[in-house]
Amino acid sequence: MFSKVLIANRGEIAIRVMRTLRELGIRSVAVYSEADREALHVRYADEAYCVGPAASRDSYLRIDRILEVAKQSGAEAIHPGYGFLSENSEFAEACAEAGVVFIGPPAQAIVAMGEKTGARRMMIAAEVPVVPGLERPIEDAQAAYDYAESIGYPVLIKAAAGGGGKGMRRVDDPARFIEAFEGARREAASAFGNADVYVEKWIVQPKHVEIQVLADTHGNVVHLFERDCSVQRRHQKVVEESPCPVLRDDVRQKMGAVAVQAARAVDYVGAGTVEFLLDVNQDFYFLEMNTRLQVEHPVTEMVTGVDLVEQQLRIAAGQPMSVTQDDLAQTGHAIEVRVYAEDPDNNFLPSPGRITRLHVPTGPGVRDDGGYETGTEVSLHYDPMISKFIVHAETREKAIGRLLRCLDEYDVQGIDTNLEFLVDCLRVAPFAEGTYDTGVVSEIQAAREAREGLDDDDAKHARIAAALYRHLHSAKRAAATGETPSTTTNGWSRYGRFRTLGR
Amino acid sequence: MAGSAPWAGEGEPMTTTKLVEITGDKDEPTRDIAVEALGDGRYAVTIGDETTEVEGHLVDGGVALRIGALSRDLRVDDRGDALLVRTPSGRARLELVDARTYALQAALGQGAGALKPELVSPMAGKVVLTPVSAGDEVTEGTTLVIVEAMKMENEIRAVADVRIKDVRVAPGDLVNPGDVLVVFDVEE
Repeated sequence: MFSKVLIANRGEIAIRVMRTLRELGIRSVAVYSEADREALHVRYADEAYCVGPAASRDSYLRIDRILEVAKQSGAEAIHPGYGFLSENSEFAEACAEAGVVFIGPPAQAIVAMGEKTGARRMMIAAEVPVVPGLERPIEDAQAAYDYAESIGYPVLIKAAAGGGGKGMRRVDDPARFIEAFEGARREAASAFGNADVYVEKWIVQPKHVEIQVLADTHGNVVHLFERDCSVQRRHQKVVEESPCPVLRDDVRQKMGAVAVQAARAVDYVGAGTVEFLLDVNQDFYFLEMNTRLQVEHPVTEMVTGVDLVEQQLRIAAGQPMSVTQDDLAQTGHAIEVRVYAEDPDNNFLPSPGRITRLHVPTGPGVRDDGGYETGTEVSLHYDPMISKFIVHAETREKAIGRLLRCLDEYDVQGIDTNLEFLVDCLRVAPFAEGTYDTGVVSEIQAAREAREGLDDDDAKHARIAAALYRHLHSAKRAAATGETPSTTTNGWSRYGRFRTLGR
Repeated sequence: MAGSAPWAGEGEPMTTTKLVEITGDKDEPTRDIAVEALGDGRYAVTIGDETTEVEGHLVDGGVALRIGALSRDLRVDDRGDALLVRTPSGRARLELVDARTYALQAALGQGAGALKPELVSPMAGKVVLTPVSAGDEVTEGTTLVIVEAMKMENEIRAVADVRIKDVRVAPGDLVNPGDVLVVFDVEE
């Protein structure tokens, strides 16, 4: 096993990795940008090195500087966390050249899964189900029409060079297909200078369900069941849980086996996640494979009892992983929420700044993977996630109850957060029932907008608390300056005194 | 902040704090609130013409209240101009100012509720785009400025139909919360 590991990341994930390192008696090396001099991950590490200015490209993305620090500190391995360099094959290769172990998959697996159309072809070859669709752009409207008929409606026509919804059409009715096809081509041509479009099946009310896998260098590949990450806002996951509340057990087993197949197809090593869309008929389709540890990995850790970072370290050190498929089971139910510094009432604008008070709930079945504490600052340069917060309980219902209790106790002052929005996510009917799909956030937003203000008693109590707060603080200030409240706070008496003196 | 205080027996100050709540409500723009210390950690809080007797003290992060037997631990996030109080049914944003300060400001014409003729940046970030120019008549919802912060673009939109008098920032500018982005032509 390693004796010293560098973490090429910041914030909560850097701390999460360092915690396991410390438990295993491995020294940790932090890197940080000039903006992160006072950051918690720097303080938590055993050693810390500044790698450049605030902008990520000048610091956390500087492969040369990070490798220099690895050499200087004598770190034997680098954990990339998620984001930044975690899925950068160039970095994985540079580590190998520098003689440092990259804690992640081999560069060729990152490349294979990073190129989406290539990955899709490889998955088809490995008999992994993918969303039915054309592999190449199609020009002839009649041929496209015939293809749509063969996969069944609704279908999605999308621009090859696409993005931002341009050149994209959902078609439900065959009679409108030709018209939509020509429209999408025109739009694609004017938006991207390229009229090429694909046709694929539109998955109705899909759930985003993903399978965690682990693979070691001894040929062992296991899956650690699923996570349901269907609560997404602008493609950003907000709430994640395991097990998926609607997944049938036979489908779960099949998905797990398919995920293992996908990992084997690219000679995968390390921790990875195979993402699928699950439709209302419990048919599932490969989306992509993330070749790194994911933000929502604690959900899996809570239900399986496996420390994924520890397994990553073992695998990177060339040891076999310490679990077999037969050892693994899902126990109870875990839910994670991402606490962000953003204002849900103001279009989710990020709200960087200093946290004047941070109080994190505790109790049985509760875990907080945070990156901040009272007095630390959420920087505008990086992702505004304050923490990922996870609960575990015997049943889903109890887990929701526990999480609601905790969200009520969770306190972040000085900046705005999405805590109230998270409560709304848990309370909306489709979530409570477990049947929610990736469109659920619009329902959560609608519920928020429809909500009346505070109830009368709460409004009254808030007013009393605020008034008392002002009163007690002015009394406290007065006591601190050694004067009675009447002389410090009563401008008129002071005025009177000045007049007397000035006479 | 606080008001007159004759000393009441046993050396305990019997002070009263008079406050004005800026409600932002058209029909009732302000509301008078008074806190009178009754001794032994008890207070009479008068909101409008309703008085409630409570026990209370400051705690880490807020105020602990007892109203009769009802116990309420309320978090108060002090943002300077406003107090954000968390309750079970949501967060209350309360602007409570000292009554005398309020009277003074009102006299100087700086009272609350005046239309703000400027759009200020709600956050720190970099200006990406300013799609409007001086003289433009824009409708509610029009994007005025796009500010990038934390790798996300944020569109700041007009909250009413208005004429643009001046655009004070250009793409590439770094802005802080409170910096003026756009000046509106608001009739006096």
